[in-house]
Amino acid sequence: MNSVVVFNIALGVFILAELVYLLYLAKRSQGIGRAATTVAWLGFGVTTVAFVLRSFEFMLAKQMRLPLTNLYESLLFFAWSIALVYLLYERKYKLRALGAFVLPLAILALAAPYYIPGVTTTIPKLPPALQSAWLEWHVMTCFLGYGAFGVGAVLSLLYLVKAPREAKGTMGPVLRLLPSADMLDELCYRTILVGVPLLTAGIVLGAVWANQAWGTYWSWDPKETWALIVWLIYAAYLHARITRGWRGRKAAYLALLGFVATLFCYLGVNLLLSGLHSYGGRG
Amino acid sequence: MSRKTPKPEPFSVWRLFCSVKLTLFLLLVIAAGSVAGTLIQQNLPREEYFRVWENGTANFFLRSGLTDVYHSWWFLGLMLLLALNLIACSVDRFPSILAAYHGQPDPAPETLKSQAFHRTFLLPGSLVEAREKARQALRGVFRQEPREGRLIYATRGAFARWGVLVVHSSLLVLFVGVMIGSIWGFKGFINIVEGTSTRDVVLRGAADDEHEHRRPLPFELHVDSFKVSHYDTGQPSDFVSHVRVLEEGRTTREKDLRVNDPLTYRGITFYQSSYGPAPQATFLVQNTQTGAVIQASLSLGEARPFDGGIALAFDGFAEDHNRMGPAFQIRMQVSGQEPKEILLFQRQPDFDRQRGDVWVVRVGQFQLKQYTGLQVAKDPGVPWVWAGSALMILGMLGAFFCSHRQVWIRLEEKKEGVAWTVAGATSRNRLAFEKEFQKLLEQIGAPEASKTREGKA
Repeated sequence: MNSVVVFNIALGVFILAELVYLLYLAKRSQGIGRAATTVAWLGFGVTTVAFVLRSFEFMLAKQMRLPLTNLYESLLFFAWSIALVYLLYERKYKLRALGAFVLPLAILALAAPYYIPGVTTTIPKLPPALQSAWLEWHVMTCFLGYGAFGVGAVLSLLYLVKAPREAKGTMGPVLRLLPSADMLDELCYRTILVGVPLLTAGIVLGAVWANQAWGTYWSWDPKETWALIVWLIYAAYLHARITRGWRGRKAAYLALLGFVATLFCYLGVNLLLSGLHSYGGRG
Repeated sequence: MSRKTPKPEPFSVWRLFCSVKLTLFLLLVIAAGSVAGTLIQQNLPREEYFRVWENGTANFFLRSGLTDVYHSWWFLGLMLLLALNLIACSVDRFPSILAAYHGQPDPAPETLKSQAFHRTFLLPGSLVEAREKARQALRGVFRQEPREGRLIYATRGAFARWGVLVVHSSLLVLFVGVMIGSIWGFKGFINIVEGTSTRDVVLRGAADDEHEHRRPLPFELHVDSFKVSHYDTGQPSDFVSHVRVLEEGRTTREKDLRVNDPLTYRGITFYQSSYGPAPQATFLVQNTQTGAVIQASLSLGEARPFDGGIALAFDGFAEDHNRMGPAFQIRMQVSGQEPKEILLFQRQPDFDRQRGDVWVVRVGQFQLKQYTGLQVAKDPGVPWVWAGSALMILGMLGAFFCSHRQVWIRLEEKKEGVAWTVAGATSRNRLAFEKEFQKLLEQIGAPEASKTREGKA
């Protein structure tokens, strides 16, 4: 079986998990909740298997690299990261009600070949610049960071929906099932605390690699610049939380802005701008 | 790290630079400036901006530095302000960080009761037994201050207090590295034809620079050969230059230079970057009236005068032009005439006769060599940049995931036994510390009381 088929199975399992999470929100039964979590872990497992399989396919093509080399593979890893960050959070903080809101991100990423034109699924031939041991570390740290920012964005969106209704006491049953607004704010903060060092490490590893490949650790290439923009926005977020007036609503808007910038850094730069990261593009 | 709102102070520049609001402002403005730099194409020739934009807009872009954002005075100014902001904040916070790092080994009894976590209870037994029990409960988890007396002070992770300062200082280290690189380093490139060597490199300058700036190398770099291998799809899979460093004619270093595998020699690093054809050809120029033939050997890009008042320039080359084989574009100037662009094919020696000129050119011998394109860089700031980066990540781990936790146990002998006051404080992550504090109380054997009261931080 081809890894692309397995990734599509993972997509199916995640869609199923999403449906069960939605059912959980509707019925609010613990049994359904546990089922949702199980299916989500299964989806994560299938994605992992697909990655292992694709690594074997790389080996068959005599390329000793992890499959993290083009847009398609990065989307798969993004989905994997989001699922991992979320499932660990669910386990740690008992946040099952969030599943229905986070999984769509993983589903959108896995389904990307169906709606982003030109995302190719074939095993790529690596150009010499990509044949570096830094590749995997650079991509993994960046994307785990993106995954954390994705979860953070969902949390801040939920905060923005819940906080005013909680204050007025006009919450529906679904909102009541979610953690309190303060808790959502705190969780978003913690998620971003995980994402920022990962993104920083990703940028640094990219710089180390660029210095080895091109002799410049920083060249203001659009991808680098956008990664810096993302970093600056989250740096602002962290500082904003120290200043009391910026907690809650304003901080949540900053976290959302950060994720919009992250998405642009990830997809917008590859699809709309040109630069050194062109192999991350559709080709 | 929440700070109480200070009482209104008169405006001072120092307070302004100590403020987090300034930091927020700078971070967001630098982000916005960076966005502008990715939306407006940077460092194009002037005319390009006037072609794409309205005159007024193009003028505005050029004057405001928006066409070279990252080197504009205002962008560098914002960076400088951020650095000053960082220094001011670090200096301002330093005494309180140092105090927090030392903790409170000897607090007044009232201070204990105002801690975020505290509990008082009475247990039977002697003071000696109680002290031993307390030490036992803290062992392995907290570092205990070696002291006698009624107060036991234990602490853990005090280093976490330095995390934020380390992150902020790391940025300054990074800035220093960038400055060192831009003052004492250089960036350049060289194209070397196989079998030849170079003693200087072309420096990268501003886009509008008319002249090529060259910088001599303290040694000679010789390229023995260049090879490129391809995937079956035709894309290059690997390219290698076999290079030698020559000093006073002797080979002092030899290496296969590949992408991602550079050569560093005497602080200068060479990176395999590009390659291309470097044809060398002998052009035979014949005067159809006299029959005299001039042999002109040129490599691509070369221009030279020859006998008979003829100058030739070898301007272009294609390995296979329109399926007619190797094609050559040359420029010939016979003294007193306008220069002529001439296209030649190696496989059709008579092609140039079509022009009906007195002077007819054909391609004689031809050799297709490759040139290898190398990036050249010297950047003594790089170690600083890596040190700053490593410090930043370590500092973040300390600041975000480690907490300074303190526990105080005060024991007082009463006639029914020993009165315990157990208090705790943490610099962050109260949820985790609450669990730990409960566990500590259980180990001591504190009577089950209502949940530990949380005071204000």
